[in-house]
Amino acid sequence: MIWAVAIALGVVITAGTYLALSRDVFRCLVGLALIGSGVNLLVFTTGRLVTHVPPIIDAAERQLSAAANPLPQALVLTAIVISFALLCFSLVLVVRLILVAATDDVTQLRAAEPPATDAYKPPLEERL
Amino acid sequence: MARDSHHTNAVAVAPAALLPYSLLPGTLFVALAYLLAVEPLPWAFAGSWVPALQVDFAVHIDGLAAQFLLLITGVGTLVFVYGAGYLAGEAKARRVFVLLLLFMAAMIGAVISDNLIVLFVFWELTSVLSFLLVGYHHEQESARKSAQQALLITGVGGLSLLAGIILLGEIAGTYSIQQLISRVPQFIGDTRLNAALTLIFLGAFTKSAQLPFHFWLPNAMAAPTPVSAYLHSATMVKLGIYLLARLDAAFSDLLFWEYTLVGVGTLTAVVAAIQTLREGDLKRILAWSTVATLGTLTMLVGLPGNGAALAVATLLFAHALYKAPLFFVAGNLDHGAGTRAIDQLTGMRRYMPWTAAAALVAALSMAGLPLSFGFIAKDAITLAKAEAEVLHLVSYATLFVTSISVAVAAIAAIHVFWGRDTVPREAHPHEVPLTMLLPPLLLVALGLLFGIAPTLVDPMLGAAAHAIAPDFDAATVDVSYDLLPVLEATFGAVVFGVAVYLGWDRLHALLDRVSHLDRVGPESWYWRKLKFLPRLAAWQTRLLQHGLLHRYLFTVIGVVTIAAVALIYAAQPDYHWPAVDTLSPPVLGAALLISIAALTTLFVRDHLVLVLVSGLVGYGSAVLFLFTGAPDLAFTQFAVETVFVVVAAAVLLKLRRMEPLRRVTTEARFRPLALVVAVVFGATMTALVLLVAGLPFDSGLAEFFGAQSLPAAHGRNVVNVIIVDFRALDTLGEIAVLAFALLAALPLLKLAREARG
Amino acid sequence: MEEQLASVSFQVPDMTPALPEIFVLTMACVILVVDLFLTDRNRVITYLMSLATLLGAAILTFSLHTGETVLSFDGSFISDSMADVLKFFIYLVCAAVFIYARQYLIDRQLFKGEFYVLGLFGVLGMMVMVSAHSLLTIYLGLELLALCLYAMVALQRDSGIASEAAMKYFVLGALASGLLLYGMSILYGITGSLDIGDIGAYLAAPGSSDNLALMFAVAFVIVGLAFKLGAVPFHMWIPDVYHGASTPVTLYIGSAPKLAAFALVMRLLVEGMEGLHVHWQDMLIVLAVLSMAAGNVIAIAQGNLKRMLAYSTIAHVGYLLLGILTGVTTGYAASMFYVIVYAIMTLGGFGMIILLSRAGFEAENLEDFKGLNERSPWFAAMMAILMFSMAGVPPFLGFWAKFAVLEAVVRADMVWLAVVAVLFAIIGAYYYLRIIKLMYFDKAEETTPLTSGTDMKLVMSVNGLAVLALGIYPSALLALCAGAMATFGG
Repeated sequence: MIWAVAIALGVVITAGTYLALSRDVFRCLVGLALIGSGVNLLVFTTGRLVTHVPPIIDAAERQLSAAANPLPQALVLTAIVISFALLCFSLVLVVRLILVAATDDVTQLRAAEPPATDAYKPPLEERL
Repeated sequence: MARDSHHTNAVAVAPAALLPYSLLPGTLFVALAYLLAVEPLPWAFAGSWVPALQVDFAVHIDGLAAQFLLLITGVGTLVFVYGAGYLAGEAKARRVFVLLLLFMAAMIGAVISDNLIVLFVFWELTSVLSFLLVGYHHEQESARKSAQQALLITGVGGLSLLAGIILLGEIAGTYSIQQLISRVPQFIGDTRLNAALTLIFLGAFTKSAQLPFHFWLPNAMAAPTPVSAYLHSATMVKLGIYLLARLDAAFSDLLFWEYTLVGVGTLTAVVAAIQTLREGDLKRILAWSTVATLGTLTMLVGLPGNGAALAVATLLFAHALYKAPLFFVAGNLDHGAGTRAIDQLTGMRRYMPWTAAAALVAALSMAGLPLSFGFIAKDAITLAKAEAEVLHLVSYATLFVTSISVAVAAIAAIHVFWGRDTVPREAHPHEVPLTMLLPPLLLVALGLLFGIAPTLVDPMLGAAAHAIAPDFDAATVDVSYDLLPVLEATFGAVVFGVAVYLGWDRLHALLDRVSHLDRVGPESWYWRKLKFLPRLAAWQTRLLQHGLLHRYLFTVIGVVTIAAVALIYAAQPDYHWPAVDTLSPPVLGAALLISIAALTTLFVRDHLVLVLVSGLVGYGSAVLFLFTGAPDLAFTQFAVETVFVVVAAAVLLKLRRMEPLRRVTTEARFRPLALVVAVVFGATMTALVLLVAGLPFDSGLAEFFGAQSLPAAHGRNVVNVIIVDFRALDTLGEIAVLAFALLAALPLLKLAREARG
Repeated sequence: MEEQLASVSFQVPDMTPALPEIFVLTMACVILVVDLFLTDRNRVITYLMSLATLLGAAILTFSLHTGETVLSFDGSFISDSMADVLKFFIYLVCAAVFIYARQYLIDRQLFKGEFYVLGLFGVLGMMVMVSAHSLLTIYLGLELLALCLYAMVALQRDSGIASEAAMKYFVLGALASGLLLYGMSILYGITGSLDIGDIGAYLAAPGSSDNLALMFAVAFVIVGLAFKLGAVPFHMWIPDVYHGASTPVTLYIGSAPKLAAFALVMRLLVEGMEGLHVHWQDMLIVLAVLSMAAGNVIAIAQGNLKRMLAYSTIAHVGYLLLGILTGVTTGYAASMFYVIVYAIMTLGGFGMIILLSRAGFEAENLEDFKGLNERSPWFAAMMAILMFSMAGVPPFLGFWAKFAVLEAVVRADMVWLAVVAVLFAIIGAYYYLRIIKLMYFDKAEETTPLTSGTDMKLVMSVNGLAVLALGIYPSALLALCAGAMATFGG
């Protein structure tokens, strides 16, 4: 079971990373969201996947027995909520960027840089 | 003299208004002299400053410190008097005087402190103040550059001095110089000692203009003459010598100490002597000869033996008595004749008789002729060398250097003042006012007095020598005047010196022809370095700070990936891969859904579709959570993902109505690299998960929550209990963050709407 | 069984240690509401209430200060000397930021409540970071602060530069948070606990640290921390964001959050992972050397003062790390001293840009400082003090900070590192002193008199003089830091 999840997680993170390295701001954010999903899976699996029984105490019992680890679930829940908040906020940033700077191409995002005449300003063309 | 003209509010200051400044150093000097006469040395008292860093304001004044104090306050008084005449009428005269007073205080602080760190603090303070003083004529580009050069070089040295002091303090276990000297036997074998001393040498050599940092001192002659006379001859440049002399008591037995100091000192003296011949400006000639003297002093500190200690003290004193007057003379010529170029100056005796007299007596001392105090100093040096049995090479070097001194003395006294004034000039030179004549005359008179009756200063010099070499016996001073070898040496130097003087012009021309050698000298290295740094900076900026967001991300992820791979490689772990257990079909399905959706995102161009496909990854995770015992998570994820897809789609549809945005560049080479990094990074994460899963797990806390949930918090859903009870604070914070994201977004949206409307 | 349960049973958490946080949260909400009903003319009420909030929080923190360590909220909240001292300086620094910002915002019609409300929420985030004692709380505080900062950066009318800077900050910040979360989750996966104390106890046990996964946890946590601090190679956001944000926001980002980030480092690396010191020491050495090198060298090429100070920040972070990486109490104290000194100096440096700016003119280029001595000898002297201090020239405050960390490094037998640090300090001195040269030796291009308000001028003077006065008498501040760090390290 852990193998399937681990590989899926690796694929998600790979795809997320590649998208994040895109020069399209929106793709970049989607990439970050995917990396976020990958992190959630990672946190979840570090609490070990042992069972499919939810951590709910049976009516007949007083204690939890042989159920999934509840602590990482709480952690993931927090992470999901926060990354949701951040993603929504990032959408606002994108909207503002497109409205104000009129671009969604990160290669154009160089206003906070020395002026074009500056000898130290890096050239735009491909250097890698 | 470049006068200030751009100051509209400038008020010319009369000499009388500036004279009172000299009262302070004057009073200090008198008080000090009186105390020295009645109180036996050493004087010590302690005060605390920064105990946490072992820095205390301990004061220890012995013979060496006392001699420096006398020089600082004595020459200081005369410099202030001289400056009152020299700077009269200058708009910024008061600022110079205030800075000079501060400088004097810093010098005093440096020489009385027993704590090396405190000494360093004052040491740096003198550098900073000299920066402001050298840059006085800041209308001139050369003055600005010189000020910066002096500060950079002494600053560099200062910081390495700090490193050296810290290291020495660590080795010796104390920052107190006196304790350090007494503890020498305990740490003399420490392997780090040479490193510490090297760093300290760097500090002392930069401050005292030793090779290869010697070039800043002549350049600093852009300063007004009183400043040059005080800082660059009498006091500040001797601080390096002072520190070396202070530590000599501890390290004089080390061969490293002796060889370095003798070698560097001798080389400096020789190089400076040669450089002297290349100059045509009297002040720069004097500056180079000062560098030569500083080299000789360094060499003397390095020489073993008591005679060397006495020679250091004597030469220090003699130098102050003749070099300061010569600087004053140069300033007088500048003032009275309007130039310092020696080919413009002959026969000045007629116009400036008193200045000429001062120059003549000072020159006698500089040449080391009998009846001058310079002769006494030369005597001490000769004896010191005889006692230390130095190499012949050093002896010849000294002879060469003294000969050049004789020639320089002759230039300053004979060439400039005697002979006929053949240079046509517009205005006749004139003698300078009394305030500028008294200081040089007084100093040369003292030189004559002590030259005739050296026993007057024997106690002072003896005490200083005792501080440098603790087993020096002050009672043996007066028997050391053994005339014959000294007269021989003087005779030799005078003969050579006169020869150099007569051939000065030819030597000058000869050296001009080899000036291309400068290109490999340390000064050109300094300028190259100064140009190189901005280029390096620009290159680094282009490399690291290109402003391209996705490449920033690439750097971050790339570094992390490299670190991760390096960690795995370095650790060579024996893996405990978890077993491939039976697969539950829903989990496998979810994993497949996640993987396929994630891969699809890579090929989707349209933003709207991209959001939908990425939403599938979230749904896949939700399914996975559902079948691995986390239904709460699953439902949260479902909800969040749905809302996000809806919101993102709405935003996209709104933006889509705008003009399509253009792509300007292509990134044919960056893309494959990005893919490689992404794959390696993802694979590392997979490996990491498997690795952690193979480790034993401490489930204590999970069991605690499982056990406590019902009895303590009356909840059966343990996740819920954790969230609302055990981790209530975090949950509250989580809600706050969520609410806050909205709060933060609102003003931005408002601004965006305003911007459009 | 019942007895055992009773002894560890759940209790309503003790709210007292968190009173300052609760106070700031409440007041921020109140100000948010009050501000809605204010017109631009009496907006000063928001300003005064914000300052009063910081004052109140300071009084609360001070009166609750016992010098003892108190845990609350089931161990996820801690109140100790370090937290109190750092919080106190956070209030102080933020109050100065608020005062510096007022005139600037009024001149540009930006004097709305948002800057102050966001600023206060940011303070709350920093307070949570400083007092957090579980991985989850740390993460929350971090995100709360980050969100405030993203919004504040973007908060500038019609400015493409600001939105761009905000976007860069957000994307890089989100990635760093993600990596930090990775690290934390691995840490949790191994130790089975989110509590810093438990993690520390687990990792202190012999043999527990020899584990590849743990090294990954350390590496990821350090990447996250390095990003927040701005250490090379995770520093790229600093110059672009400092440059792109409006100067008061730059001032805010550049000063107080570094104090909180220091607390984060202490909690995670020292309290939580001191057992792994051998592992994180090497990583910090790499970060420190790279930061000192890149920061100091690149700063030389900058013609924009905000960018120059950004690189100077990066360099300072390198020095700051020197003390921490020694792994001993005196080293931690040296670093804490350094970070506080840094915050005070940065405050002055960016404050000076605000002081020289006016509506429609940002004095952020080095040329704008030319001949300042002719325009205002007093503030030229203040700037000179600040620059000398940043360069580490005695007897100013910055010297003692450098001295303290260098001594710690030498004492830890890493002489080469001290020499490297000194070497780059020398390069650093070059660009700080260049500003002094411009102010004193060059001719002014601008001749307009300074127009700032009295409060601004007063605080600026206090700021500059404090650097001088504390430099002459650094003992009290040093003792404060030593006291705060007494419980850290062996």
